[in-house]
Amino acid sequence: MMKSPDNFCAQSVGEWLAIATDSLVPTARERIKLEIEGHFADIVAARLAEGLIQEQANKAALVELGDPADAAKGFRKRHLTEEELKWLRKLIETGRRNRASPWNALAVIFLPLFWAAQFHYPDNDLVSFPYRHNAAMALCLYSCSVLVFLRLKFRNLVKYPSVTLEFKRRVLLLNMQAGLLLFLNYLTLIPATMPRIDLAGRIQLSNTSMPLWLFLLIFLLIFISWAANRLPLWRKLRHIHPPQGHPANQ
Amino acid sequence: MNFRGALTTLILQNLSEGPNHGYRIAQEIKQKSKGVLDFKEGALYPALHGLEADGLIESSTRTEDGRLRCYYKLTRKGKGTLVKHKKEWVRFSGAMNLLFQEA
Repeated sequence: MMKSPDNFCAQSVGEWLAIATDSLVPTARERIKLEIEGHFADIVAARLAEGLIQEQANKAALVELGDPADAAKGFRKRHLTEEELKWLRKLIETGRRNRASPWNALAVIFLPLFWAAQFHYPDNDLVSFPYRHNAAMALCLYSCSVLVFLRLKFRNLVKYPSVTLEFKRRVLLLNMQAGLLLFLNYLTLIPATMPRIDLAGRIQLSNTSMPLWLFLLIFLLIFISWAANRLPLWRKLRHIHPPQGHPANQ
Repeated sequence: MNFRGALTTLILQNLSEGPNHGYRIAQEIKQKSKGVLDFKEGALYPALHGLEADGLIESSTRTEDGRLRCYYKLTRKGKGTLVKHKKEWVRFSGAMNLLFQEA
């Protein structure tokens, strides 16, 4: 990441933009470039009208824009960075690759079965487990994932997929759903492989079960830290907009 | 004058008078406050993008004098937020005035 030293003043608007938009995704860079260059031109025109020569007007405009490093901090809070986009692409790619994998098929069957059994049949009496509960849980999971993608997190990402990620809308949705199922599947496998842990709450806190608890605690800490690191990304994804000048934005 | 945090309210207030673009927003804030509320104009755009992300304003592009300009306008949510901010400000400044009068 580029940083401007103390008392730094960019020598040109290009240099200012390079620092302010460093590490942002190209769509965000384009949008900021369009706005800042226009703003810069307006200031220069105003200073020229006041009688300054071109060089002085340019310098005055750069001073009025301020420190590009400060602006960069603000922009990075609101726009996707290259690193975040890379991670997102990886997530979608993983979903695409595993869309038709046996793991995914297993997730569809195993996940609802496991969770329904945990909450309604704590003794894991799967022999008498009704299939309609399984179907209801599966439906619920799928509905939730669609809701999450469409309404909460990825509304604009789904609305403008070609702008943001160069994916077609249908492909993006399928890939993300596959990705979510895989993620839930892996997440479920961990408690599922621990026979002593009963998610319904009847847990024997004996000495022998402590390592399992410790393991679960570590897993939860890792998961929370991962989720916390990714929070800005989720927040930004809710507000992806096409770049200025894009037909969707006219 | 340091008015960190108030920039968003100033932008919302400016846009309550009608759609506007970044440069004019900055100039109008400075002119109307007679130069008291001065800020680096590069800080305006992260604030504008933030307000847009929060759904308080929305942007559209227009071609003006052969140049593409981004205009911002207040949304219904933005209008509500501005009313709320104004009420908070009146309360806060009233309390400050009371304190200064006592001193």
